[in-house]
Amino acid sequence: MERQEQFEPVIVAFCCWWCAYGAADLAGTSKLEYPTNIRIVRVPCSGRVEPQFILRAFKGKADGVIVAGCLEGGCHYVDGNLKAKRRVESLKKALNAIGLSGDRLEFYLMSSAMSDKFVEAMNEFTERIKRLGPSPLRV
Amino acid sequence: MKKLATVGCCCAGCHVAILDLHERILPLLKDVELSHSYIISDVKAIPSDLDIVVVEGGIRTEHDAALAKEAREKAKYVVALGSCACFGGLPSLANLYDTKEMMNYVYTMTPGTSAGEIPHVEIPRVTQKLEPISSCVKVDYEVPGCPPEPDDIALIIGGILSGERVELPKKSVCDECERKRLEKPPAKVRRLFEEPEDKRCLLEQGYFCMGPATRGGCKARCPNSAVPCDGCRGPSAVSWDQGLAMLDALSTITYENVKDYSLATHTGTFHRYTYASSLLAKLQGLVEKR
Amino acid sequence: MSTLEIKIEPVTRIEGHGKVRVLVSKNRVQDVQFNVIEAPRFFEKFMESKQAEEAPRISERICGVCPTAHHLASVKAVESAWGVEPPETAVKLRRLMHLGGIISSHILHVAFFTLPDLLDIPEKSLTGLYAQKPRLVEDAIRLRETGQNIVDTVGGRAIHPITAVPGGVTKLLTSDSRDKLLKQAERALTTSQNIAKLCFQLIQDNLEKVKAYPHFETLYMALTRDGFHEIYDGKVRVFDPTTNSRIDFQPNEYLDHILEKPIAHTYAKYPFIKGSKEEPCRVGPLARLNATDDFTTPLASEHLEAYRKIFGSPAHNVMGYNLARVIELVNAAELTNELLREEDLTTGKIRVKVVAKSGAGVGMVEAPRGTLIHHYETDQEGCLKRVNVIVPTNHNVPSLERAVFEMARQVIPQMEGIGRDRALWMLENVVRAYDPCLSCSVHMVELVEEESHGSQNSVREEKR
Repeated sequence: MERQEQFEPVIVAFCCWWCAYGAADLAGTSKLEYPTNIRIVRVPCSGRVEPQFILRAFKGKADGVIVAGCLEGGCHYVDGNLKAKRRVESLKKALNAIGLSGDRLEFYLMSSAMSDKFVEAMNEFTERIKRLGPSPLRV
Repeated sequence: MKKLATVGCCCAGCHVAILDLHERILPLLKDVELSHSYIISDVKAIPSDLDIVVVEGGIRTEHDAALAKEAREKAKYVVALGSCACFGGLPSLANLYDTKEMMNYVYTMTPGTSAGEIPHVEIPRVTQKLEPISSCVKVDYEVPGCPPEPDDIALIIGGILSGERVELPKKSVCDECERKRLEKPPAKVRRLFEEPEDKRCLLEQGYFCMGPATRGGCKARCPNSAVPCDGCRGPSAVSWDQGLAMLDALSTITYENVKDYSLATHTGTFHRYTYASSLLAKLQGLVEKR
Repeated sequence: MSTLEIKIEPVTRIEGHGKVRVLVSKNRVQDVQFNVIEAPRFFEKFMESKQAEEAPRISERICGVCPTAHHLASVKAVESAWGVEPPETAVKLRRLMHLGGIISSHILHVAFFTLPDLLDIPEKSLTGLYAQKPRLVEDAIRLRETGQNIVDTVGGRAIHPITAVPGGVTKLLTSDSRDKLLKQAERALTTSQNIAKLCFQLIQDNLEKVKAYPHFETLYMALTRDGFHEIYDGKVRVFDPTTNSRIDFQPNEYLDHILEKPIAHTYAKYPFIKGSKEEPCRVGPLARLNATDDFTTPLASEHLEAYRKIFGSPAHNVMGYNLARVIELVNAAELTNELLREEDLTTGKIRVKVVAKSGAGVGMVEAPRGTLIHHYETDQEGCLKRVNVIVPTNHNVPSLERAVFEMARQVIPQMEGIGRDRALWMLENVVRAYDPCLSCSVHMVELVEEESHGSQNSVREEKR
């Protein structure tokens, strides 16, 4: 059980430049803390995240993957975030089907002002992954 | 004279596709020596100094693997013929299941069968998963399709013989389809036995038509016969994973219709011919390893 | 005691990979094994959970030489499970594509596999045949092309057709296509008659050698319609020559009559006809001409009479297969010419409404190589729950082995005199006569239907 306590997951977070990344930035300048497990990858829109990015992140031994975009109606590119939401939902099912828990993938919505929402999401997801343990692809 | 051999078998459809060159096979046989081809010649052993070996079928038994390696050693060029050789093909849907369990299960516990035994005498062992030829040996050319187009076969072999650089078509099936798009997403899912509207895009009508993610060059025979494309020619030149790309595309335009994704059912739709070489199967393999 | 093993590997000019092992000790042939080394592909397992209407396009990949037969048996099984009757025009179009498949498969065997042997040419390959008989090869190629064109036009694609769906077929024939096909069909009839003449001649010229081939009795099975030769739809008949009795049953009663047995030395399973002893049954051209009374078409019927004078009625000699096959080729050409002239092929109704549901059904057709059975069970979504396919070649394998054994007993002791290659060639002739389709014979997996079924399933299914 000591092993479990020391487990520090690697989490990749694809954040859209207009909102989620803005929220992350604001969290930083406001000196709000969020786990160092999060590795942010900035994309122009959450809709830009192709399923293969997510799958390759898992293949590259990520324990969890986040896709974060704008609030509904707030996407700079109109509906990229809605597509991303659907995409993540489908992919979760595919992951469950092959034995990799779909809970290791999540989609969050926020505006660029919602730094506290960003921090909350990162904390919650990190805890979830710690509970799930290391990715089966790690061993 | 250049030497050509054909080896391997799966359903033999690819060998039949070569024969579907019909009269064009006669001048070909004048230009090349058919050194070995179990279906139309009696030469038992595979000769050593071959120029081209055409391999049909995926790797399902140790015999298949040995044959692929022998072909690679003995020939200058190896051509993977058909979707089984290129991607694993339709029989790679068996990779969803554990092979040993299947063999045990099947040969020792059947109703309506008298006592028998699991085949094991003088026959090659079945491998854990069915894989494309490229998992075993380096492949020089791929001619996908189930069946492959006789024209593509003639093109590739002709190209190797003449030294010209040839390429398979880069378009998708949609580019060759005669049906028209009205740019409206589908209202509901339709199944194959429901009669479609004439002349209108099948994907828009709610059928899981794999056209957008599938390599063209087949004259879009299936949609032009009112049957949705099932992806037999493998991924288009730009698809990173035929099945997942299609699932992704569908989820973004009509999520309601794919929210009941089930691996056992929908691999039959999205990964029917490419399961062995798909990213999904690779991940599944990695998960299973641990 | 040393046992000499004589191997023919691979057997050439057949479909699929197989080898013959003859075990000789004390100068006597002790055993013969026909090992089907073609890989099992587990169709019946991975077809589970797939939508049943996709079965015709999936199961036909069991074989690239007779895909049309699988396509049609499959769609009939789904329709039987769902209680669907396709309209008459659709049935005619299906018959037409079936005929195309039979023409192309039979001429492939007759011209490319068998004639090199019947003509006994020095190099027994396509190249060798073309060098000796160029016109014959060109005619055979054109005849095969006609068969493929029919499947392409009516079935949507020559290899692995697509147009048969539960409820009917997906497209009509256009008048333009019909006219094109009719021209080709007329020529096909002429060519098949010429080839029939040639084959009859060659058999007559070599009658003594032919009669020396194995000719033991077996049961014979075929579809029949009012006693006539039938390829698409009818009752199943099993004919027993020892008692001259005939049992007729409906396709969906097949489990009452046929059981399967896995064998150690081959991936193909052996079906048997239930009875007091486990009797093998032959299927295919020889069997069809024994189990049925006559053809419905005149030229084939004439040939049948001449054939019976040579081989008897019923005929048991394995070489009878080759002559029977060419008569069926003529019959298929005649039927094609008849069928293409039907009015409604271009205008009739071709589909009925279908509702997917749970059920069980059997679809049977006469594939080029014999009786083909597809048996499906579906769940309430209309997805496949259980799949069982029994292919014609499997029925023939037990008697094929026996025939090779008997032939080996004859020729192996004379091997020094006739020459090793020649002797082994005669054994291959026996295998070839059966026209085995080895890819078909190893599609396989027989499924268990028990409560334990669910727990054995190792697919990672998402938990809902």
